[in-house]
Amino acid sequence: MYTRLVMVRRYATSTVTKSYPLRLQHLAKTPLYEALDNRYKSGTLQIVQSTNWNTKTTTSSSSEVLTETLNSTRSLPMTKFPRQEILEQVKLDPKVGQWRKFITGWFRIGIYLLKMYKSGIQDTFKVFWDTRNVKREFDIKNGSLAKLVREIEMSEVTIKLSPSSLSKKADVKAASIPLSINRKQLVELIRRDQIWKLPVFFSLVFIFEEISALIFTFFPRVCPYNCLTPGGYKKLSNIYIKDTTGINDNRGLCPLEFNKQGNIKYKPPYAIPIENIYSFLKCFPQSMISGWKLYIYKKLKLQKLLCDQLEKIYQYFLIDDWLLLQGILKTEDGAAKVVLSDKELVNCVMERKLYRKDEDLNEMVNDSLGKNILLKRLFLYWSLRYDETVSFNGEHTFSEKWGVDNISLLKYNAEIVITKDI
Amino acid sequence: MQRFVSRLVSAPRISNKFLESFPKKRTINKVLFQLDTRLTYHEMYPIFVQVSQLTNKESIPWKKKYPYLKSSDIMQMRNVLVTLRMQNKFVHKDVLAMENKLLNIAAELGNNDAISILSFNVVQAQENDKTKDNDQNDVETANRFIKELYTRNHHLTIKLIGDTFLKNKAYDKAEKYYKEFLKLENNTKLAGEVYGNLGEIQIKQVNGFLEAEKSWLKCIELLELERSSRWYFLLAKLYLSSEPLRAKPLLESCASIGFKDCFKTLGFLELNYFQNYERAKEWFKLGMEITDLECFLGFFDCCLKLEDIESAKNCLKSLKIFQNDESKKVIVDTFLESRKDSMKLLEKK
Repeated sequence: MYTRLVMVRRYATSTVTKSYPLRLQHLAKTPLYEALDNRYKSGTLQIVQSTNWNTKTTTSSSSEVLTETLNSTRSLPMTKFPRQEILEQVKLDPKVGQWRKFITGWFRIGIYLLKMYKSGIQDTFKVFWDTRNVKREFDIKNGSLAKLVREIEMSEVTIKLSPSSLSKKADVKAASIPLSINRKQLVELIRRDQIWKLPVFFSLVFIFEEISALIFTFFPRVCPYNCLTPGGYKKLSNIYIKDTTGINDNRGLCPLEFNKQGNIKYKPPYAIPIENIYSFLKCFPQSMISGWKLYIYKKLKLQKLLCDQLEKIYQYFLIDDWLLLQGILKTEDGAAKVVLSDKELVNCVMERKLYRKDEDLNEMVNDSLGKNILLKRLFLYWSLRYDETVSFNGEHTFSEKWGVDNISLLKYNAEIVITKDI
Repeated sequence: MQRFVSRLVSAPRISNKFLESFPKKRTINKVLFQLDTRLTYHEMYPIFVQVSQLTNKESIPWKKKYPYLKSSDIMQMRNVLVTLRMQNKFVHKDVLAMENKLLNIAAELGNNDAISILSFNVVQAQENDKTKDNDQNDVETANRFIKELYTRNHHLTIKLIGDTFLKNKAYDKAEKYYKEFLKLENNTKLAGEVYGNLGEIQIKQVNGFLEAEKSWLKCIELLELERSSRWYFLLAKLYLSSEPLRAKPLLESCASIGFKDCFKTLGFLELNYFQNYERAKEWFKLGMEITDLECFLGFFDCCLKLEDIESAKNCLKSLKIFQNDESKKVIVDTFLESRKDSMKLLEKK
């Protein structure tokens, strides 16, 4: 009678399968990884630079148009600061005298920065304003993420119960099941809280003008996310990765533990020390809770509340990953191109902490080899989580693969970063 | 003195059989308070005694004998017995017979609820081929009663029509009647049951889980735990993967009244998610008492985590007994294979 519910989680299966180790080396050979890699190589999936510094409008520099429902570039920081290009332009400008080229160059850089801050502030307002209706429907701080996770679960169960699922899938395809929210709406809901940074940010820009860029490089957390410069972003990414893990070790944050043999062992969130949860939550780019609340939870050792917050972030990752994979691997119009912004790629890698300290993600994404490395890290991460799930190429639901506690699989994974497969 | 003697003489003689099977006064009083009945224990007791002694052919002029009695009171008396049966999870055949007699009496006195229940009993018995051919008239009469009651918008009849459709897997029709019932009555215990059943229909529909969740929440709000444990469990299952913190108290409520499926679920939740091995072990112990195989598997893992070698060895012995059962052999073998390393350590110790 309640097959649909029974299928949500089968303890008998999970108890047995959980103890089997997964090897990282095998991830690059999984069907999901290969399917994603093929999409990228065949050009069905493209990563493009979303802004051209020299044009006033935010259009794509390439001929490709960003996939509307997957990208929200207005809420993300720039990946390349065109300092050299501006200086070069001044150098080649015959109207500017030789004696004032240096000053004009830096003045134009300052003007560019102020314009960027202006558009950043406008975009932050726009994101806040445009998402007000979605927020009424999905209150992500009060259980809406869990509802969306349940929606994904139920759609997985529906696929599993459908007669077509009985035959083994020959290739990796995402069944086209619409979720009640698209990715753009979801990420903008998470990023809309950046508006509360505006009062301090605006006052600093008003007081220090061009010099404020220097201040934001040293204190990047003050700056709204979409006003960050690549330098500030690098500093921020270093802070996040430093506070979450050591340089080369794995402090056991999140459900999986990686040992030296490359095996992945299960580790649930409640097994993580409070200190580690606190530092992880503090280092999440789009925090859903204020820092002082987290500090109180940590001091009073309120593990449940901290784990609850952690779970919300993991739920967000699950939905985000699912929407991205659905977008990339959708079956209906398989030939249609999916165009992701480089900003989104950088953000995905940073949120999931698939990088090492001192890596400049923005620099990497602007280089073709670096871009490939970032993409492949993301593919490996997705293969680990979603390979052989019923939504793509397998027979099990996500809950069956990872279990109730494993739903929150995310961790800084040094071995994904340094694995020789990439 | 004369009054005392006359009372002794006129009081009906109470058989030992009745005294053995009938619950104590204090227990009955508690239920009467819960159900907020019109009659008191002293007013009901002689009726209970008389009903227990009643034979099928005997007819008693209830109205004359107990002028204060209404047909709804008889149904309430039946409800008292039903509630006690649900709470104690124990069926005594004499008390069950008394329930049926009370139902018949209520129907004789013209209670619509009783007529409706009896009519549906007849129809269902016919569907199950339990009745003989000569009872065809009864079925026709029952159908006539059901139609009549439905046209009068009798609440219980509408609910029972829904139940019948649900039983026959005609979900759309069942849903239609349940919704019709809820329009008439949505804040009673009966409505609680309807919400529970409606949730089970809704969960089967694509993307119906949100409505199912709402229905079950309403159900557990209206019904007491003893009658809604099934829906507590289903709701907990719904929350299990996405919100384990919400699922846990629901499962604990189920466990408090001995809902057998929830022990393993709770055990694994504590073991794998909350990492409270001691508590998980206790839940598994309870599950092992009802020989649930999965509880043995969980208990073994708990013992290893807690380094309770003796219990782990005992559990292993029990698991090997399960291997004799063909249906369980595969699971046990797979489990033992996956815990090879742990077992080697156990042997060393």
